[in-house]
Amino acid sequence: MLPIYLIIQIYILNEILFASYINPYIYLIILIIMPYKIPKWFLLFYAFIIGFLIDLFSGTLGIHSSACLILVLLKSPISKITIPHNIIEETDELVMQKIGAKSFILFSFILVLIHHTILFILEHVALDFQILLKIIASTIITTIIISITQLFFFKS
Amino acid sequence: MQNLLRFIRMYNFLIIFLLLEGYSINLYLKHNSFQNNIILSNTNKYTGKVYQISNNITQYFKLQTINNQLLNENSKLYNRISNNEIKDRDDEKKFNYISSKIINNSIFKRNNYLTISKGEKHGIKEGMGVICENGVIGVVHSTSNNYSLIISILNKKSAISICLKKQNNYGSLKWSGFNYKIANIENIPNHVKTVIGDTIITNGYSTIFPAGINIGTIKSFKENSETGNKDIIIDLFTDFNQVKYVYVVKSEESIEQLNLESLIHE
Repeated sequence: MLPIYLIIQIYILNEILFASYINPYIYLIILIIMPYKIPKWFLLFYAFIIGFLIDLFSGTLGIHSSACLILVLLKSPISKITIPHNIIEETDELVMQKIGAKSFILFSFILVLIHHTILFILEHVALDFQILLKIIASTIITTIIISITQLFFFKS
Repeated sequence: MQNLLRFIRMYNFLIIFLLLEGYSINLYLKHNSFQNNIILSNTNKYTGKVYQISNNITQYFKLQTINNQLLNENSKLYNRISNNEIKDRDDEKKFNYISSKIINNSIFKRNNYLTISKGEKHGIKEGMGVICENGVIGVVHSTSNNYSLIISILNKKSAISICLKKQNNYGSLKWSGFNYKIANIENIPNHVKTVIGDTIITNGYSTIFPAGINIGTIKSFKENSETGNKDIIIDLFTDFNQVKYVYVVKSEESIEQLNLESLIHE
């Protein structure tokens, strides 16, 4: 699945800037659905490499990789808050059909918000109303796109 | 030892995170020039104050050498007056000079910057040239209210257009790193005659420096048949380790020249 999301991100979504504010990043789904069982050190390296690849293709070295690393750092505390206990096995992927639509959307929204906040602040080196608007609008759109991709795998 | 290992095992997640995050931030700062510029000029505002304080103390120990430099310069100026060198010539660009003190200086890095104790308030703007009594120092990179950051010629980014005093051939000055006393000259073709000891000066084409400021003397040269240009190494007149006071070159007519020249690109 990894190459598909990266290709979609690099060739399609990176070229798009909806309404000059919204810049969705679908590749985050790879990191969000990682099961609990994957060792954390592996997750960190994985996040770094994915961020680095995206950075290479968008010419912004270091921005995506640092945002992805912070996403991974905060992933397990946030999953404890948003996902009900005992609902999934350790090896299960955190997909919508396993953990339920409501908690999946909340879980991914918080993670995407964290990622986008760091990403856009690093990109613009500023924090004003326009950038806040960009963060929030992009977060909502990315969450919607991630949820839609989850629907494709609902029945299979 | 056992404690250390236990510590690493307990916090391996955090340690790996910090290492990778540090590396990412390092990449971020190195490769994104737009963000880098904003951060540099912001930190300049605060670090300038700190350097000013430490400089107020250390300058007492260097008073002797500073006095000597000023005496030398005075005598040079007297000479120029007596030789009637200073004339108001209509066909030459007019330059004004703002004197300032260096409060921070580096010479051993690959990219060196200086901080001086005058800024926007005193009329300094980005892109102005900076010289000292011996030669060229660099170009203003960014300014805050009271301080300015200068890219010295000991920097990968700096390229100053120069000419040979005898032959009038134009080239550009680059610094290859490592030694702050020497620099390289590029774009002088092989057929141009050069002699060891020839003086290199600024040419008057740019709006940054006045013509004829001394830069250095040729130390060695070698013909390079691949590029068709000579590899020239020069000794810089400016001793970046000693310099204390600089003059920022301010040309009132430069904006007029730049505006006129920008018509070509439109």
